[in-house]
Amino acid sequence: MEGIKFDSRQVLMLTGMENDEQVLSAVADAMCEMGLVKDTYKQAILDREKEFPTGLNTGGCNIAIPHADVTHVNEASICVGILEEPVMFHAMDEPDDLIPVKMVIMLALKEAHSHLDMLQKVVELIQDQALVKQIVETKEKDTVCQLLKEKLL
Amino acid sequence: MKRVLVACGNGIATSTVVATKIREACENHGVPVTVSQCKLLEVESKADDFDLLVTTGKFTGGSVSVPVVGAINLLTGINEDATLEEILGYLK
Repeated sequence: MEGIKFDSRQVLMLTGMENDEQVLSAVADAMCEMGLVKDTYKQAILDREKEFPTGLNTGGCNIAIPHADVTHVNEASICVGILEEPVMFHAMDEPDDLIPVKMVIMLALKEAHSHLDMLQKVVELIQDQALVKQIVETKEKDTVCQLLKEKLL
Repeated sequence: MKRVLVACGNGIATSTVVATKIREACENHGVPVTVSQCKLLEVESKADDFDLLVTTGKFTGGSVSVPVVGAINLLTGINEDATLEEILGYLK
């Protein structure tokens, strides 16, 4: 992923999350603290998820890929949240459906219609359910980070 | 040449992946095509200029006269080939 920032600080092991809004807030706050996104990013993520949810029903371990408009982003980057307990997200293709999500891949895109390499790798990861299962079942943050780096970078 | 409009919530992320997959599939099958992207909210005003609308999210933004194909499978990988075949079917 050329030009995309991703390091171990961008992997969060999230516990005690009660709903999608808490998850999105935690991940967006982390990105904001790192200066990767602007203060407006979190609200944009929350608003966007209500209107166009991002839960993907993979048939295995479901994943959400929240993202917001490029104007809220400082640096092209991703941040991954692993949920200890599944949290219900609305499905992208059927917004009325709720699906249990175990991993959130938050995308901060700097340019529209760009970052194809990163987006394709994220989609490859989503489709590699054996790897996703391995990642979400790993309790060790360093191992999670290593597995993600091998796939994405 | 047939024209495809690919729409997603923001018009920047999932539509980029889907547009690329459609371009590649059409190239592999020798089907000339132009693919554009937009936000789901822009679809109703733009769709009339296209031959096919492909969306990742659910399209609820009004009525369009062109065929609509849901392309969530191109993200999840479930029945991806069948969805690409369906899309190609409208473009050949």
